[in-house]
Order: sequence, then structure tokens, then C-alpha cells
Amino acid sequence: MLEVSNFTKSYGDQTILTIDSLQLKPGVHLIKGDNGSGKTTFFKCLAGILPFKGRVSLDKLSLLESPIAYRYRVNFAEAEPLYPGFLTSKDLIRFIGKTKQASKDQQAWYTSKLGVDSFYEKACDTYSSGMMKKLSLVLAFLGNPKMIILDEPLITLDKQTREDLFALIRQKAETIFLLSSHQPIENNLLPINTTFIIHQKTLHVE
Amino acid sequence: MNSVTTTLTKVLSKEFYRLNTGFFLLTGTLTFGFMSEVEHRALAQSFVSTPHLLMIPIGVWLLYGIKVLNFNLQQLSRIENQVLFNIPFLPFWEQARSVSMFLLWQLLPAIVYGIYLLRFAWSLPLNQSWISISISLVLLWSGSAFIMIRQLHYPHREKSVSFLKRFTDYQYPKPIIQIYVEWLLRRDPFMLAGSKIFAGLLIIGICSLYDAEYDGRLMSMTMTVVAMATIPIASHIQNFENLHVSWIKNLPVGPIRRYVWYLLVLILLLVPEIVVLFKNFPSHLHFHVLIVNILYALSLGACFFGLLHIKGTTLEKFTKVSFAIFISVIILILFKIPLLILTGINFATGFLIYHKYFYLFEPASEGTT
Repeated sequence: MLEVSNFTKSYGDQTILTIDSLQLKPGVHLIKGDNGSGKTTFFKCLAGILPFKGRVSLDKLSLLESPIAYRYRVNFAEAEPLYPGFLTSKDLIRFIGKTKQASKDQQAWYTSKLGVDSFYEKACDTYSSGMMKKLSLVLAFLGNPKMIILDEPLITLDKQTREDLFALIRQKAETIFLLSSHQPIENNLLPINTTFIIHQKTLHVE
Repeated sequence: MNSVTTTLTKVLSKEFYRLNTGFFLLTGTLTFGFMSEVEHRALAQSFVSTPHLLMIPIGVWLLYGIKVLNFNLQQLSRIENQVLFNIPFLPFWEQARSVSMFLLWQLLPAIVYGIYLLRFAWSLPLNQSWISISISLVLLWSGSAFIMIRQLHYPHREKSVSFLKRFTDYQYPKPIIQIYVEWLLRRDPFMLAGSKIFAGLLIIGICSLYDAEYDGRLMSMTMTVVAMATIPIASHIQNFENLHVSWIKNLPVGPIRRYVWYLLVLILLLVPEIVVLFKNFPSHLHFHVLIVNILYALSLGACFFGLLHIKGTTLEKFTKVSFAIFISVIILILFKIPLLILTGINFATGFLIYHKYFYLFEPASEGTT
């Protein structure tokens, strides 16, 4: 379970988001909000990329007190992923797979499942935005994550990959999925457990 | 100057000089600060005296031209500069004139020195030399203009991957250290080459000064300067981790391992300096002085990397701090504080600060989305 308490994120003296208390169980949770409302910032804080004030823990493992163990369990895919152009999918999948302790079989499985195998050994600077997105999704599933944060996972995805992604999410019933999306998600394809909305710099259940 | 030339000058030429102020200041200091007019004349006469020596300034112009074009092509790929792709709608001669004019400003340092050499070649007279200089300058100018116009006409050419890259990409995945080094080499090759040349020449110069009366302190002070030249490397790597691949912070890799990654990158990048030091090291100094000096330079580089991560550090603050450290270690070296102690302090300070601030560091340009 993800537990967030007394969370505050500020840039300088400007507060972006405050959350008094939040608990998320395994399932799919959607966060909505206008552009600039702080969704990505919140996701980056949960992923351990940006610092914040407060307490965040996953299965009783605190992000601040057990930074490595926490990061083993949390994966993150950015809305508009960018990777150094000279690297290939293979370089990134092998490198991140190794740090997240993903076996080569698992790496190959996700690579094939999300259609990355067709450009596996090509450098990122030859990719379209859709290919980049697929790669970021593969990276987000590697290892044994207890929480996967997907920031705008549907943009630039074709219909087939979108359905494959939903199928992968449905298969991981014991995982917390935290999603943001400006695009509608069909409830029959991906049942959403909770929908939150960021309004007036805090999180509300919709 | 017409409006197109004015726009190109503002967007590309002025920006080029603004962003390369440090490079021009350093070049100016090295050339005009240490050499008298007589020495400049002697050097110019030697350059034009034989075709082989003339290849030196021509080679430098070529490198400078690549630097200019590299900068321009990078600027053209920025979204805010897409307006420049309207230039091909103008009549061809107007395009050529505008592009040539703004390039003239950018290539001015090479052209002015070329004219200086041309004067000597003409007056001596050395026909082969002045013809070579003239052709080189015309080719530099017209070739650059041709590449710029071509880029403006065909902005989104399909990227092709070389056979060698395809082969290596197929053969093996890159280890993390190679990723860092390759990124640096691609990101700022001129900074890297410049700092290596500077450090190498400094080491050769100091080693040639050495006689039996000097102890190891002069060498330690030299290595302090060499370590100062690693600051841009540390800054680039920090930017890489925080701005370009910020997802790297999500990886379950502890600060010790990340610090070791940086040290390995630094060792690899210091190989040229280490080789030059080995080849020129004064014979009367003990071998252990050489090893300790290498470790010391490495430790100072590691210390700077740690300091860059302190929350709220700006370039201005960091410049002040690094200058204070530079002066302090020079004084400590002069007072014969053992170099091994300084090395230990540097490594420990760098690591402790890095460990404390790595996850707390936030790049200034992070925004909300």
C-alpha cells in the first residue's frame, strides 16, 4: 500500500501541491488535473526524482529512510520520454533491467509484448515519439515493481499497443498503477479503482 | 544590413559570441597575454615559411569552422528558431548574401588572423603560401555558407546510422560509464578537447621548468590547476543526471555506486593528463609523488562534483567556492601539508556532501506540469 502524509511540494516560495493524507491499495488510480496543476511534479516526487516535504512510503518502506529499497519497488514512465540519442533500446533495457533486477527473459518478454523488438538495436535518435513511448513503457514494467507510475501513457500510442498496455496492467493485479491521462480510458478495457482530481493545489476524490 | 542578416546575426552570431565568451577570453589571454608583438611576427613568419607549417593555422581554422557550424546547426534545431526556415522563400542571391554576411561575423577571428598571415606571405613574397591562405579562407567562408543554406533548405533530412554504429549497437549494450563518457564527448567535445590541451601543455611546461631545487609542491600546484579544469566535466555530468536523464534518480542505485561511477568517468577522462604526466615527470622526484599527485587531482575533481550538489548552488556561488578552495589548497601545499591528507579530505568531503544532497538536489529549471 502507498501511504502519503503531510506532503508538500514547493518551488521556492510557491507551493505546488499539498496532500494531508493519501492511501492507495493495489489497482488502477487515475489522477486528473489541468495543465500545470502539478500532476507530473507529484509523480516525480513519488518516483524519488524530485525532493519534497512529508512522508511517502510503500509497503511500510519510506522513500526518505530506505531510498534504495523504495526505488526497487517504484517504476516511472514520463509523459514525453527522452533518452540520449546515441543509446539503443537494448542499451537502456539492459542497463535499467540490471539495476531493477529484471531477468533477461523478462526484458525480452516486455520488449516483445509492447512491440519494441522491431527497433531494439536501433539508436534512439531515429525513433518516432510513439517508439520512444513504447520504450518508456517497457522500462516502466521491468523488475518487480509494487507501484508503476505512468504519466500520460496513452499519448502517441497506436490502438494495438494501447490494448496491449491495458492487458499488461490488468495482469498485474497486485500492483498499484498511478496514471494521468487527458484522453478517455474505456472502463471495459481498464477498470479504474479511484479517480482523483488536483484542484486548488490539493488532491480530491472525483 | 538587411532584416534577414540582422535576424541571423542576432539569433546566431551574437549568441555564439555570448555563449563562447569564456573560450574567447581564454584564447585571447593565451595568445595576447603571453606573447609579445615580436613573437607574434616570428610565429606568423614561421607559419607561412613552409606548406607543412601552414597546415597548423589552416587546421585551426577548420576546427573553428566546425565549431561555428556545429553551434549554428544546434541553434537551428531549436523550436524558437524555426522562423529561420522561411529564408529559403527569398531569392537565392539574397539568401546567399544574408547567410554569408552573418557567417562573416562568426568567422571573423579566423579571417582576421588569415589576413595577418596573408600580409607576411605577400611581403616576403611567398606565392604558394598566400595563394593557399586565400583559398583556405574563401573555402572556409563559402563552404560554411553552403552548409548553412543546405540545412535551411532541407531541415529534416532522414537520419542515417553508420555501419560501425549499427555493428557496435548490435554487438553489445553500452555500460553506464561509456554512456556518461559518450554523452560528454557528444555534448561538448570542444570543452573536453580544450581542457585536455590546456592541462597537457601546462604539465609539459611545468615539467620542463623543473630542476633539482624544486620539491613536489610545484607539481602539486600544477595538479590543482589540472583538477580545476575538471569542473566543467563535473557540471556537465550533474546536468546530465538532473536535466537530461532525470529518470536515473528513480533507479535503485545507492550513492556509493553512483559516486564510483563518477570517479571511473573522471579517471577515464584524465587518462591523457596521466599519460603526459608519466612521460614528462621530472626524474629526480620519487615515483610515489607521481601517484599521489594523480590521486590528489582525482580527489579534487570528486570534491567539486560533491559541492555542485549542495541545494541552491548556482554557478556564481560555485565559482566563488571553487576559487576559495583553489587558493586554500595552494596555501596548504606551500605550507607542506602532506598531499595524502589533502587527498583524503577531498574524497571524504566530496562523498559526504554528495551522499547528503544527491536526492535533495533540484535543478533550477524544473517546472510544474
